[in-house]
Amino acid sequence: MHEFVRLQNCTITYRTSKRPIVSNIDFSLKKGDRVLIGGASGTGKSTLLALLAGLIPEYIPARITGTVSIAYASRALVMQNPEAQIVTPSVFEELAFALENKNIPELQIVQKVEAILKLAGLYDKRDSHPLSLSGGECQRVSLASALAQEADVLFMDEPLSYLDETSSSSLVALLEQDERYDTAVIVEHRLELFKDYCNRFFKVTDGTIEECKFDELIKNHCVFSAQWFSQKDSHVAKDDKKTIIGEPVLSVVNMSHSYSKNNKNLLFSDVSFTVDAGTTVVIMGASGSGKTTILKKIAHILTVGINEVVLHGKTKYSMQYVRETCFIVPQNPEHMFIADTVLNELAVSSDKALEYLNQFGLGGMERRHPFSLSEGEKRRLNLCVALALERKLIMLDEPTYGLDYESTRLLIEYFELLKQNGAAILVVTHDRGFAEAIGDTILVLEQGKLQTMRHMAI
Amino acid sequence: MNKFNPIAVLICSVILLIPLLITFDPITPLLYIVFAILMYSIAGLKNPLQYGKTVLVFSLLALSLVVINIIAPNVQQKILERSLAIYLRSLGLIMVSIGYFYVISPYDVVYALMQTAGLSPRIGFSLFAGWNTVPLFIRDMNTLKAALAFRYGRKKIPFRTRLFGAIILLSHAVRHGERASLSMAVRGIDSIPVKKVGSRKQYLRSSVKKVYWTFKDTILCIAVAIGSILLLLISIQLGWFKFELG
Repeated sequence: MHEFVRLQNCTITYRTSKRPIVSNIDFSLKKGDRVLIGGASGTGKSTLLALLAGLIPEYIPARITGTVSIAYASRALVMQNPEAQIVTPSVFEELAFALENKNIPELQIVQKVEAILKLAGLYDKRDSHPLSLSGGECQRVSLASALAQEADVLFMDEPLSYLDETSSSSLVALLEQDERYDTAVIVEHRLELFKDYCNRFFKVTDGTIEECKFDELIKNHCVFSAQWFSQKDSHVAKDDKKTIIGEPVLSVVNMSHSYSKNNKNLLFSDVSFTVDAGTTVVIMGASGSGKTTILKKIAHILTVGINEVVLHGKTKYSMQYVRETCFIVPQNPEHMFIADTVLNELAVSSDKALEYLNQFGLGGMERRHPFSLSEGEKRRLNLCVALALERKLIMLDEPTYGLDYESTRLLIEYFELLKQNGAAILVVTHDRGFAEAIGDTILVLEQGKLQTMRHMAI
Repeated sequence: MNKFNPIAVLICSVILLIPLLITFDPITPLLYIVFAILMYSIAGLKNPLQYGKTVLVFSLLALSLVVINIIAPNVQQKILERSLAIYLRSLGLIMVSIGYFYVISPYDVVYALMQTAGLSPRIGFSLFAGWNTVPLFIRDMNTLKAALAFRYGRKKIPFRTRLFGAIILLSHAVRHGERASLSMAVRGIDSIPVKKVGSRKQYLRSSVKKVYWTFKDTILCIAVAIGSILLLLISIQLGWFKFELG
């Protein structure tokens, strides 16, 4: 069988660091191998993928020792952060970009791109600017662009992170059905989705890689569920304090939104729900359904209609009141950081800050720069800040994006801490398992209407 | 999609700007303003209302020149007539310059430079990526503004925090740029086949979006050049035209 990649005793060290990010790696990739790589965040999975894809050291400077031999003729790569990878002004041109660079005749390009657009469910968006799409749609563009290349090997770094369950499943089904994508290397946290597609599984632990069975890889990555959550030992210091459901903090009443100027094409309409103190409400829905728009409207980042958002029973309030009541954690938690140390982020007295940091498992990190924390730690620091600021309504946008299993598990546990402190939590996510694990009430935004999937028993 | 090659429209705009730069009477600029509007309408003026609003805003600049001319006139005679001439000439220059951007998409200018003028695709698509960074930068800025507002509530945001915010924004912009560059690299921007034609490099890259120079572009340029010369001749013949530079 033709060997595409061989790594022998390979060690990679970034120029900014003395410690290798991956060390003594032995790995081979043959035609027909569909490799799934799992492991915690920060263990070197993406670095390994970049090496296999030939990006190190040519495009990403790093020192390599050992032997690297790459023999594939072409490769396609799906990277994280799809929005930042957009080059051209339309979805169609974005998919054609790599094919144009190969100087393939235009007619063939058009045929290939149109076929992929239909398969990826993007045909009606072909003339849209990719940056006008939602995060999930943008990720589908990035994936479709890679698939259109029909490369020898497909490298994918967290290709499903922005996608909802349906889109993820249909993408994996597309890979399974099409023989053109028979060799791939995938780094992903949602391992179970690639179980049938992949035929080799690797576990990355602290910069070393080890081939294993799928069951071994998934062992610590089980799907979240409410039952699972109740069975687990909690990291959060348990006390006798019980969560008490309080008064409604937020009521959304008949909210609707349209991004068109004349209010045609409503994204959603008649959206109504309530979030009580000490409870978590989760809004689920497909990419582009308007989940984040609801959060932005509640936070008054987008225009709100009269009486659409009721805070603490008040329909009339100032923007200052909104800002003193709510706290929003965006998809990228770095956007909330405004200080150069973890301690300074909290902006409260040192003793109190240390107490909060210890509660959220961030003890000992007070002097670190917030950007140097792991993705899970960054989100926990955001929650810690919200608690320090005594905000009554905490809103989180896709909080599991980029989180590994352990970080997600910890995040779930720390939600309880917030609830015990009387916070009302509103989460938007496409991660069903996560929603089931945390949601007292689960709402689904589908075709512009909000439906209740689960409502807490009081 | 533009009706004409952006380079052709640029040439036409320059053809219209030259007489506006040398004329100093109230009637000739008016003729060229009407001609420019006609030309841009044929070339595919997008959003005329917004164009009008933008021109209105920039026309304040023309008004300020009039005020300066009234307060401190260069020549003491016919102050009002000269002021009107200054206003109309400045307005004409503004309308022609701004009009170009309401006809042409910035992406198409770059496509035209790549397909017509042999601009390297690496540079051309880097300009695309740079232009794409603008909405991402604005989004990041709005998110940061919201973050600061939610973090500080009623309290005043310290200068140090604002400064730190600016640094964060810049670091995000650099990251966007790096990712876009990597995205182009993995999709083969650096391995486009090249053919040497004399001392020039020709990039063998197909393109589903054609922004080539066509016969109608040549016709547009010729028509605008002839029209512009005719207008100038008519203005001279009827004694309207007054020459003055600056």
